Amino acid sequence: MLSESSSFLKGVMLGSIFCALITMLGHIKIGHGNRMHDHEHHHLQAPNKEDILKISEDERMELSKSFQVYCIILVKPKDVSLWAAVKETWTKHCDKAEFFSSENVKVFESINMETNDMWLMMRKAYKYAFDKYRDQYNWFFLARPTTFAIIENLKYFLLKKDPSQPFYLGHTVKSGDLEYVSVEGGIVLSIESMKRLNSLLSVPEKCPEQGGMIWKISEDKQLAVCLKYAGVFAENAEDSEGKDVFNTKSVGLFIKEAMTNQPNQVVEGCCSDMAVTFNGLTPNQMHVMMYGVYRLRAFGHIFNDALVFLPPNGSDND
Amino acid sequence: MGLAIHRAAILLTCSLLLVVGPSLLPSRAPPFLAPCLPSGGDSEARAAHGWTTQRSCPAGPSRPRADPRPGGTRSPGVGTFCRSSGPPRRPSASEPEPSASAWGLPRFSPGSSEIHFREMASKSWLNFLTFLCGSAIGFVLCSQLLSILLGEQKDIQPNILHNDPHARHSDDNGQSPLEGQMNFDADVSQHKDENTDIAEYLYQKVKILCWVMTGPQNLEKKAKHVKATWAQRCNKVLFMSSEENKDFPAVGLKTREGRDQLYWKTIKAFQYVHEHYLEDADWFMKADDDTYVILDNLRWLLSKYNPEEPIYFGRRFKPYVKQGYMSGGAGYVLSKEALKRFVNAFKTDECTHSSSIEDLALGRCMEIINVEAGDSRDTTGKETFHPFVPEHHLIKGYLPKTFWYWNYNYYPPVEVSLEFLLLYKYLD
Repeated sequence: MLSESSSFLKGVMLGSIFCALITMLGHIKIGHGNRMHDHEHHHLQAPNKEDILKISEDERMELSKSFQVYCIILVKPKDVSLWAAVKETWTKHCDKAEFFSSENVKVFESINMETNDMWLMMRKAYKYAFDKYRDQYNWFFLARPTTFAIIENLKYFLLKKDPSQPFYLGHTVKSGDLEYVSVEGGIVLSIESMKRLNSLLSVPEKCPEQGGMIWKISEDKQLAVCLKYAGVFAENAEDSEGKDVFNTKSVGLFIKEAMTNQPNQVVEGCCSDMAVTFNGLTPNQMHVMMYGVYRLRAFGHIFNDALVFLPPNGSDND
Repeated sequence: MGLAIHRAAILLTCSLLLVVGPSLLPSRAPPFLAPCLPSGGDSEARAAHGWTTQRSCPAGPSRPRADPRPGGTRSPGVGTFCRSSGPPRRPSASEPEPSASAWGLPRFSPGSSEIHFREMASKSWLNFLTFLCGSAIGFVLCSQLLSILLGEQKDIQPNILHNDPHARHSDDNGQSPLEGQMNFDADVSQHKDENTDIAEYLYQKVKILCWVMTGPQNLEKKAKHVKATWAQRCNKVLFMSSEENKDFPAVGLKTREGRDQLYWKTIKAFQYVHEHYLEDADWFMKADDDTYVILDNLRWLLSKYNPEEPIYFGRRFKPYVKQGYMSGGAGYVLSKEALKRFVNAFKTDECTHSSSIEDLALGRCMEIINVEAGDSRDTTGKETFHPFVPEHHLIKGYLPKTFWYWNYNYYPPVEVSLEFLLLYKYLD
């Protein structure tokens, strides 16, 4: 009896230690990747405002029209309240937004991916988008329904970037040797990257449907692995001050952190003025963000925006 | 609540295990461990493992190996654990590698192993099962513990609706006070290309004194954030508390704390403002410490009115008072003339502390002394003062049809969502 109980306890010990070890390793990696000014990162900066103001009015209108962003939102039935909020709010500013769901959902229109695996969903969604819309859109933005995106700021960021170059950008995270764009902050691919990705999707050696034998590799890492074979590397998007524009946290969390870490410059120390995404929002917060970003103005404060992107037709909360 | 207890129980169990654990560490490595130890699965883990194994079994090859058991089905303990101290094997993902070093192999003492082995041989299967069971439970417990310790604490506070127009927010929403002074740079131009000429012109032209109703226990929790944010756009700001606090600073009104004291606090606060700061502003705004006021928009509204007229603005509610009254939750703003009349009315006993329901009692008094209840809606007919947090107003159908709010509004609701907002109340 004694020996059983002792071996049981040994087991408990081993299990705990093993788990603690895994967690520790995981945290070391994540901690390393999240450092803001990691100079091993590839940086990609937003355009300089002065340069853009030099462009003539007509040219600017032409430019803003030439940007066509197609939004892919990967949803699962359990996300239905977020889905509803996202559909009501920021996705209206995409030139086209489509929802790709893991199974058929009656309440909303979606493209059924018939799989619960996030990586398979992502692959299928990219394939679908490329096959159907390669001639109509030059930028592809993929997000989860917890993400809030400001598409106008995305377009501003992309303004001087050529979609016929292989761009793969967002909020980058380093994991071992691999640098990948976190899906939590949203993933942007140019049409060229889409082209290369789609040619690889059918090559199982380079871009397998089932990556990782024991541990499941997250879908954003898998994507980075595949794109690496095509010579496309993740780039971290930053504004002119070096702040991230794609964020994996919500504004509230940033403010909270800034209040403890940099109490002397809460708003400045928090987030970029030209932020493209925030993540981890509740459905209610989506509506509040929409109101704060697109409607609420303080009287007497005038902004000289370099570019004007028109809101979608028939939108009442733009 | 149930979840918290559940978590606490797990926490307790785990901490107990961690304390008692070391004394129960195996004095000898059970031989069956090796094959069931899972591999780390990535290169880093493997590298780390190889390093520790070599360190922990330095004398591996020279150590006498335990005799193979009769039948020879099980691999001997020592050999298994120190296998990787020999020539390095190519790691392959499908083959599990032992990482025994991770759980304290150095305690292994080869001398006593043989005797123990014989004793335990008959019970080994039972031991094996209990061990497996134990490691599963240990893993689960530990992962629970870690998820509690490391998991991001999402404190989405539910905004509970009480169907009572005079219900107040609770003061104990468990927010931890933050250290240090904060500066939200409200006056510093953060946007390089922002033109604030009009806002600055109005700041000089429409002078607003804000006084914030707070309490001694809320100074660090709420009032501090008010001071760091919107209050910077007031021409003058005062924090009204029951006790004086020279450091914050907060004015002491010498009242007791509590909901039934709200009207007394308001009366005394306006008297204090009248006595000390009447000439410092044109308009006198009362707000709670959980209200957010966009003062530039308030100035836009007030710029069309003369502060010498007896008028006051806020979220206009319909019942009880003929001209309606202003909701206390959204805050209200009195013209200079209205303030003079209000303070005077208490000297002449035209108004008294008739009720502890602050907003309603003030509204009654205002009607008696002929102060007009102003229309604070914007040019499109939308309300600009809001008694609830943004999402309650923004999301259609959030406030149930039976909610008191719908019967209290003085003006019929406009279908389209809000455009100009001045005030939000009940912020977390």
